[in-house]
Amino acid sequence: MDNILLIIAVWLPLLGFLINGLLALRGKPANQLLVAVAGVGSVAVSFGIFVWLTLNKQAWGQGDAQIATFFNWLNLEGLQLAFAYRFDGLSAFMAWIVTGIGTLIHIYSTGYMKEEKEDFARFFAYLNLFIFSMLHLVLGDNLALLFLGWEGVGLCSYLLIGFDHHKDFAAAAGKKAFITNRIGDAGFLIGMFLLFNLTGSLQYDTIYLRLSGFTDTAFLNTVAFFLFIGAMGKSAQIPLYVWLPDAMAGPTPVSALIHAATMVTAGIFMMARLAPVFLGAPETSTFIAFIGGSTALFAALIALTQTDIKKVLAYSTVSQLGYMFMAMGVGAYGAGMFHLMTHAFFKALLFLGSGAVILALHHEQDMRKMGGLFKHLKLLAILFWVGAIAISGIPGFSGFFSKDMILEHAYTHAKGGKILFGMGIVTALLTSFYMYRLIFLTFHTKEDAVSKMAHSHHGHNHHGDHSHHGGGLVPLGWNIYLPLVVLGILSVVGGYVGLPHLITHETPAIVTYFDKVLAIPPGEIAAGWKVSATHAEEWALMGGSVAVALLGLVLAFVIYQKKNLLPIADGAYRKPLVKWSFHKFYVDELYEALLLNPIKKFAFFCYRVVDARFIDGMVDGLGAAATAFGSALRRLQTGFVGDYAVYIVVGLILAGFIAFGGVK
Amino acid sequence: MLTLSLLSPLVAGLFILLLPAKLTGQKKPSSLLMLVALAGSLISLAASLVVAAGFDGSLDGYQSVEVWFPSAANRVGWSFGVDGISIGLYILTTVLFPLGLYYSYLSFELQASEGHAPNREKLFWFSLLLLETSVIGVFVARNLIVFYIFWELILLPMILLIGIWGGKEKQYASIKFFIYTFAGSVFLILAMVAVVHYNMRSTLSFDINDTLSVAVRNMPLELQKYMFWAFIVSFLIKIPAFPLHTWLPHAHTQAPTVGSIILAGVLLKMGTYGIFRFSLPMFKNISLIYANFFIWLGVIGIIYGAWMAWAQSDIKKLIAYSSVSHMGYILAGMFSGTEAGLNGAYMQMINHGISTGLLFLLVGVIYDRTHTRELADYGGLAKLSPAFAVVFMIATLSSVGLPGTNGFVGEFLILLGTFQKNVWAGIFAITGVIFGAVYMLHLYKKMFFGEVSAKLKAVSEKTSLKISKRELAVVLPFVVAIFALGFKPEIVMDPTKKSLKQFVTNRTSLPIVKFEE
Repeated sequence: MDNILLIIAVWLPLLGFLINGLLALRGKPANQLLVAVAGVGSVAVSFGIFVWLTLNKQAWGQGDAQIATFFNWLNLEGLQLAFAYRFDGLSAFMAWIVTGIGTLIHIYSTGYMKEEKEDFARFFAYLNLFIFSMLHLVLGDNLALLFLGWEGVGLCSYLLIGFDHHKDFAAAAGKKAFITNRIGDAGFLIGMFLLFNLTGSLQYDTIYLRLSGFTDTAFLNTVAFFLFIGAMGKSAQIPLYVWLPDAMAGPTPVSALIHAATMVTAGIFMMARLAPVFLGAPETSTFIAFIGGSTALFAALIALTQTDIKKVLAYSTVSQLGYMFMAMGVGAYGAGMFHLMTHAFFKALLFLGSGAVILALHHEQDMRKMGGLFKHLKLLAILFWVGAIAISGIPGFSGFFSKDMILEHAYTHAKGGKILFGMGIVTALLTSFYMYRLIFLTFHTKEDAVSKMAHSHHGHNHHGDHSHHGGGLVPLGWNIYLPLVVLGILSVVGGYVGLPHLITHETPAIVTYFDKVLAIPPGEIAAGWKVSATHAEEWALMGGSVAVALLGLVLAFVIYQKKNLLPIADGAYRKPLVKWSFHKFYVDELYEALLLNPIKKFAFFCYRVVDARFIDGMVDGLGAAATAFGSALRRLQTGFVGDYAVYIVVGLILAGFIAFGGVK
Repeated sequence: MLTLSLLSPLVAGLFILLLPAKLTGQKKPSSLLMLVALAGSLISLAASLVVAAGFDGSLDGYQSVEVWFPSAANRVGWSFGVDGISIGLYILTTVLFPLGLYYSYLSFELQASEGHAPNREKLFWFSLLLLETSVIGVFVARNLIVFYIFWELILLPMILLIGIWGGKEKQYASIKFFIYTFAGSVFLILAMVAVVHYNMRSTLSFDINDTLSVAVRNMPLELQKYMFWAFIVSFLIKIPAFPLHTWLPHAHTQAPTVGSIILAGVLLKMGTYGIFRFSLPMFKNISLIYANFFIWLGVIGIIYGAWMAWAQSDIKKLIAYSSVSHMGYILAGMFSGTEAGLNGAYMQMINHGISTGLLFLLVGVIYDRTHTRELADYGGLAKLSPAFAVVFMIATLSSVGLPGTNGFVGEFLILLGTFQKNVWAGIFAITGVIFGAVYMLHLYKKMFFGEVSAKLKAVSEKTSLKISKRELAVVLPFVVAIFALGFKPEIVMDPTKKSLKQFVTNRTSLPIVKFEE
């Protein structure tokens, strides 16, 4: 019974996809209620089933996985794969987040997308397909099924980024996301095949079993490295992060669900799922921690100067994902998963909040055109503050607990721990600053967005596809606010599953949980990975991280509220560092010049020269030569008997030479 | 049943030739001729399905065997049968033909509505039906001579299709196609004669099984090598493998849509089928010696084909080069000698027929309306023709091997198998996953996204760009197959895997590390 329910929970969103997909194909605006019922309902019921299954579950340790096989996929002697789903402590955790936050964002979308009458059903079809794929990613019982979900969510991401496909930049951003992810996927495939060569299976239990006695760290380092390349793509880490900021071209609920809360955390989840591989690969793990730390810092630097509200949040997401990888890299799996959860809460809140602002302001995303919204949208502003406090790491809110746990583990990492901690704490300062900058610019500065808007709409009317009705704010419905309130509450209380041991004097609950459910051999991490820290040091770390959070708040307040500075207009002179940050350190341009263009030029050169001229030229040349030879021979056919007699004699002599020439 | 499915298209084709001439030459295509042609093709399909239903994948050797003129059977006998290697391709053939045939009629109709009367209809249907009989013949022949007759017979209708109903450069393309593939066949017949000659020392037989089991054993190793090359060059041209591929883009761009569907769908598979049927079993040792060479040749084809596809401005040429890339996967998988690689290669043969067949079909559908293959003329089709955009997306996803579609299963297994045999070749092959996405998404974006192009705007004012219901009916079986095989690949693989077992040379000493359990 439970197995059937599990299968239903995974496949139900596909039903939603099919219903909405067919409605979208009819070519006229679909009944929004019907779409919403199918779209939200399928995900909500799925969430309900996961809750029920969780409550019913007896034990959560290793070996307590519930495995439900739906049907066979591949049935070869050397490779058997099935559509089988694994409900254990890790996948249950993820399934809650995916379908729980998924349901909230689906509800929100019924409000956010209601003006898009033509595309309403199509949007929900894609969202449902995304949930279906994501559930395969987290619940699949083998790596191939994980890969199915992995690429499936990539497809949905591609379709949703390019949702407004008539806009060239949206279509281009979608393509960029897909191809960048494919680069990661190629690495992931290599890692998967290496692992298969090692263990002879893609099924998790078998992999765990075979790995348990295996200690060749060189091999595991290689496997882990290639698997991590996949994570770099999906979870937007250096050097493959470039697609995520562009992905903001998609509708805002998409940014919240896919590009903040769920899909982009797939890399973290994958590491947790394959913990035995990564724990057997200490060098690669340290490498991962440093990539994570660098990404966290680098993206935060870019976020400092962005003026598009969604771009700030996008770089913030890249940066926070960096924190998670830092945690995973130092072996603090519980801390990484903890931050994955709290980040899902507060970042979904912030994205949906920004969506509400954007919606209210008639699709305005430039923070320079905002300000003073607190007066008009009090509840929204308060919720936004909750999100900002949570992410900036002010005690009492969820982000504080999870970020602090990561920083503590980074500090005590045996290799380069102090450097990692340094990266982390600077990032924390930057995070706090750019978040409060966003808040002040949007909600508080003296000049009022509403009057700015009225002003700007006198002159020109861009955004031609949205009807403008003067300067008033677009009213926000209950379906916008309900998910925000729930996420706001979660952003506060979500951290209490991980109270620091400094306070409680015991291991945080969430860490105990993940120690139990992950396939981690007991005591494995402690050996060689960690140095100890004194109590005083730990208090100092916590104090430091609180101090930088407050410092960021004060700085942002002074600059943007007190002095009322606005980020300068594009094209104006910027100081070098600001300019570099504003232009995202020119990484896109760099990739284009160093990678994309050379390969493209080479491919085109190959076609024009190698293929068309050389290879095909040789073929045509052979043909031409044969023709020429033929016409030359034709001239021998003179019709004179005398000529033919000569040929016969010459031929006979030649034949004689060939036949008897060898005989001495 | 085999005989019925083999001959019914030919009979229908001959019958069409006998029908009174006044049926043709009208402004509109004759639906009667189409119905006769379709009937011939559908009977063949029905018969093939009966064969498939009775097929037992657990048995070795040929099944549903039928012999004409039994008294001479043991010599040059006209004997037919299917085994695990041919069953999939046989069904693919009988399924593709009626679809392509009916689509051609719709295309004629559309042209007629624009004032272009159909050209030499009777000959067109006859060529198509003759082509069907010859392709089926290749796949069900149990005899070298019979195989060769059908192998060569294919050239005739194909040249007619390209040369009469083709595009602007149809003559160049059809002659190039003919000479190039015929040049390969010369080697093939030479090698066949030599093999049979050696065979005669034991028993005189042209039976494929006898030949495989007896002939080569009598041959000196050095000679075997020559024979191997003579066989495989002909197959490599047909596939076509890099660098013998340059006839394909010309043939595809100039061929009428149905010609491209059949060419990509089944004719290219004759090359890989030949390798499965002859090269691998006949020259086991030599195949093993050259395995890495052919794997690399396949891998080069994957990457090179993808790059070439990326560089195209002509839609049909782009898809033609994508075929080079996809066929490269098959070549690599076949020579990996691993269970995964071999089964993946077979799967990919069927997949490529479906996905590339569908792509050519869809390009035909839109070309019938716009009369341009230039990528630059397109843009914004998703807005003008949403349903068409959806099916084209599905074909694209199948082509890039997205999990859940048929394309993934084949590609995944091939990559895994290649990786097991030769890690470096495997790694390079895997980059094909990236480049495949690059050119296909490039194509899709240019055609469907962005603002509606000026050309399409102009066309859409005159005629609807939306795909018609009847065209959708032709497309639907492809779409169903893409997902059915994506989730249930055993439909293709179960009947076949036993036959492929004999080629497994690399039993990958799994796991590579011994464990204490």
